[in-house]
Amino acid sequence: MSVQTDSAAFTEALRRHAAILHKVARAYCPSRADRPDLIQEMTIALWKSYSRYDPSRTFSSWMYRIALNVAISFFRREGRHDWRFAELDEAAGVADAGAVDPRVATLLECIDELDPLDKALMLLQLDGYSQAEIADTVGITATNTATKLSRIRARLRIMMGEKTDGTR
Amino acid sequence: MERDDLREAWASLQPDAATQAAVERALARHSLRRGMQTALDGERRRTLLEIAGNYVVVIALGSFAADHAHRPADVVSAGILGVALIALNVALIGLAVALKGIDYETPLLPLQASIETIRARRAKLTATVLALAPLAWAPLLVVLVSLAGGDAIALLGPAYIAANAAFGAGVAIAAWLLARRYRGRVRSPWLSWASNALSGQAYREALERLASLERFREVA
Repeated sequence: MSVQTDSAAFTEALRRHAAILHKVARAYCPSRADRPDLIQEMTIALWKSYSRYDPSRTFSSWMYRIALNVAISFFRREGRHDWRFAELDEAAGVADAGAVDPRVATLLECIDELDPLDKALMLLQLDGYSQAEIADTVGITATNTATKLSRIRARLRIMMGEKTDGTR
Repeated sequence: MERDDLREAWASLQPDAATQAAVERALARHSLRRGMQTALDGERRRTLLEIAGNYVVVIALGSFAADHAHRPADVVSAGILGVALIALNVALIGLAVALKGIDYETPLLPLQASIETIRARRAKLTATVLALAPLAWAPLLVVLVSLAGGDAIALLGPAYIAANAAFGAGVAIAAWLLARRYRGRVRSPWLSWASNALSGQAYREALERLASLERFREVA
């Protein structure tokens, strides 16, 4: 396939699944100021891997795996996350101003408190992936996935209950 | 809130204008080019440049030592610096190979473990370089004086050179103690990075993260 054909197919697929980039960026990047950088980093990583994409796999699960890997490593890099911008965002109250549905805002707040790999498990489950697909993406056994998901769900339920009660 | 409610809420989260703009900007810039770099590519390139730069200096030091073979102090000084740079390059080549092996299509847990292992190795190397760098002052002084046309031993005297080496060792110890004492309390990003690296905090954090990834692998 030529670079142009590749590029057109990639661009089309990426636009169709842009929600994945948005969800991953929202979940892993508390600072709005840093999100465009993360999205750009995910886009470049996806484009660079696209020549090896196997069409027998779904584009969205392939995309999720790369986006999550980039997001988890992005903010672990030394000095990458600037605390001053995060504080400014927080002070301005703009960290999650884009959320329309209040349930989504609460859900994002709770997800934000999870460990990076727990977040990945939860994001994949929320987007309807099977336990086998989640296990394959994360690199753990299906049994381990089921156990962890059950615990994360229970934890999220408690956190969301507390946050909902707190706002009443 | 039940699982279906969560899914429904999650599905309603669609890309906002900022995300769409960021995607479009990335596509506009990168869609037709294969050579675009991720931060990881940048890290690989910096490591390779560091290796190349060190080799240039090693070759220059070798040439210097050959030209000054009649002065043992010059040869020994150039030899110390050269050996240090070769050892550094061996470690850097190992890192460059590991960085080349990073593939974002790998499942999350093994990839994050690989990245964290590289981070630990890099942190250990940085701590070693920062700790030992002041010890290079004395041989560097001998080489620089010689390059300027003088003879450091005749000009400054062996006692001065020895005192310089001792001072370098003192600075190395003081820097390590200061880094341990003040890490986490400095606001300057560079000082914060240096104190974290020199005190071994960055290395410990990478090891802790590796251990937590290993715990994640186990079925509790």
